[in-house]
Amino acid sequence: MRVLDRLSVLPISRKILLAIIVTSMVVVVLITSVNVVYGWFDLKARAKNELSATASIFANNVSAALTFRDELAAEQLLESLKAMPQLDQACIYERAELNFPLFAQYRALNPSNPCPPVLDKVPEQMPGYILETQEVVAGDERVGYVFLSRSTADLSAAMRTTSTISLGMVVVSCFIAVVFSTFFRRLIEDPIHRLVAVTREVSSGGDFGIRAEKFAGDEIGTLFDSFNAMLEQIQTRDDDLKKARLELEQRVAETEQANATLNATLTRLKETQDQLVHQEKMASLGSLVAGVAHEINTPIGVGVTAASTLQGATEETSAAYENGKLTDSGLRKFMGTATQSASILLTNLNRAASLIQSFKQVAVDQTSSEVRTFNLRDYLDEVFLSLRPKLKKTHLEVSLNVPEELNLYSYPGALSQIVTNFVMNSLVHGYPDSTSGELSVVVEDLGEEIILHYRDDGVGINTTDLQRVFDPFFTTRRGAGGSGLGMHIVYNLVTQQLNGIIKLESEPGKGVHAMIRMPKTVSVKEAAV
Amino acid sequence: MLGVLVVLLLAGQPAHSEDMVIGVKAAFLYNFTKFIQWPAVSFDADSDSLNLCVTADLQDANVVRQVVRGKSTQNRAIDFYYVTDRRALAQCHLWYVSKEAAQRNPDWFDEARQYPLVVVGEGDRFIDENGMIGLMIVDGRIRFAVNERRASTSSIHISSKLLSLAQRVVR
Repeated sequence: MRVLDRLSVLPISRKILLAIIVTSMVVVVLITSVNVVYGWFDLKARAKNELSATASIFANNVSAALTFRDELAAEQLLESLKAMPQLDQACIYERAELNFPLFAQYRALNPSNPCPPVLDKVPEQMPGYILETQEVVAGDERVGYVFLSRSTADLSAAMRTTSTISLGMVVVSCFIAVVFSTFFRRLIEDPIHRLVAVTREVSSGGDFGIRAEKFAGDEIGTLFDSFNAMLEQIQTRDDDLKKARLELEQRVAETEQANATLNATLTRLKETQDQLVHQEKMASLGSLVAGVAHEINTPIGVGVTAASTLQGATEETSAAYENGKLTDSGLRKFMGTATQSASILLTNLNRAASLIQSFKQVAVDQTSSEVRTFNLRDYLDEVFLSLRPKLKKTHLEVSLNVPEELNLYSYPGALSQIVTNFVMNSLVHGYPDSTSGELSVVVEDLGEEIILHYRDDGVGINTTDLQRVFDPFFTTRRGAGGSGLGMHIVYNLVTQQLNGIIKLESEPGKGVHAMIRMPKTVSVKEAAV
Repeated sequence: MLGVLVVLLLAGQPAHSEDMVIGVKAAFLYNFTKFIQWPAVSFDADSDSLNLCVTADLQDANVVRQVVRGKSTQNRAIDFYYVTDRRALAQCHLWYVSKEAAQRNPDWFDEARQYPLVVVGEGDRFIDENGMIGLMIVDGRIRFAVNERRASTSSIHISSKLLSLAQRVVR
């Protein structure tokens, strides 16, 4: 593993070179070694076969000489072995009674290495020599043996030459491998270098439009194709991403613009709404003024009539006094008239004063957001008093059930406006055919809080309309003068100014029941709207 | 048997006594059979024995008989025949005729020529007159001459190895 780790850091060109050289070295060395070893054994086997064949022929040839014990003939035959210079010994043994003594030998071959005197002494093996012993047969009879030995020195010399040549071939093969691999490795190395260069260019520049130029149709070529395809995909996705981002930015901008427009519209709407609410308040005030003016008109008129009657009577009495025609009865009559007139005047002026006081208070409360302590029962009386001109035209009766000593520290104007709006809504919507009915206000004292119940027994509100009754500008009588802001103002006043909650219950034909739950003492900070 | 072995052992030595000479000659006769191929017609079957015939004085013939007794050659047993009638030659494969017998019965050779019969006689001249192999003594050792032409005429093949040992060969 350490060798592999070390090799893995080599450049790919070295790896290829190394792979080719090592492979060719191993192959060449292996083949050469096998060849040399096989050659050696083959050479020895051939030499052995040759020696064996020679011995066989020689044994056959010498059989007659041995049979007839013709030493001369045997030696002549031995002479013929001169043709084999590598032969070291040639010995002929004849058959005797007990053993096989030497019959003849070829002396010229190797005088320093004489034949063993008897066959038994002939060695079976001798280092550096190939030995062959064969029997000599004549007819049916074994007449003797021949023994030949040859040195392997010539074979060794031949093998040394072969080995040297093989070694040379190994060296030459390695050199050729280096030369060829240097040439062929470019086929692999150059495309890879090109690919690496393109990869670097893409990664450093971030330009996915660059393409690697394909070299060949092999695996590296396929790698180029795949790489290019990958680049194309990345480029396409990159473009898509850019497009999507642009679109997103555009949409965000559009949304922001729309938002701004919406905000502006909303602001305008709120302004308009506030304006409308203000107008409604003013209108409510106007109707109050009209009602109150009408109400004051009667006592003032009666007062005027009484005053003019008193004036007439005074003038009449005065004239009678001047003329001396003033009688006692006449004076008494005048005194009666004056007393009555004064009484009527006083009563009616008191009435007017009372009305004006009430109006003044309600009007001031309605137009200002003043917080003060007030008695709820008295205040509601005044409110209903201010509403009497409206109520007088109807067949409705009003009942108030409010604890006597209930004082609040709150916004009376808001409360006045709330009750006024309730009553006006009941008048406008609840009793369409001037039917008779009853409006009632009941107040529960819960200690810290109160609950104000307002009820009418009119036609009621259907469920759909009930859900929208507090929405601004919701009205079922737009053509008939409804602004759709009355109940919205009620809702805002209860929740924001009085710091309370409001609930409205109604069913068609069963009247309306509004409940307001609010603190007796309002927190000014919270309610300062 | 012991005598035969002694004869055989001494065969390479110069012959001094007549017994020794005939003993060596008998060994030669036996050895000749190892290097001679007879035509197929000479044997009725593969198991047929090789018939060695002798026409000589009875004493010499007995020496030969002793030498070849129980021997075999070329996978055939050797049968010894003492021939006194020329018609008996028809069954012989090798016929040794002594010098005296050859001089006594010259007409027998005409009979012998009718068969594939190896005729062995005495002296160098024997192969020129009637025989195929002539035995002789040279430098105190028994040698032989071969008339290969005559052997070929009778479809007999004599091994070159034997010929290479011959003192003289007529081809």
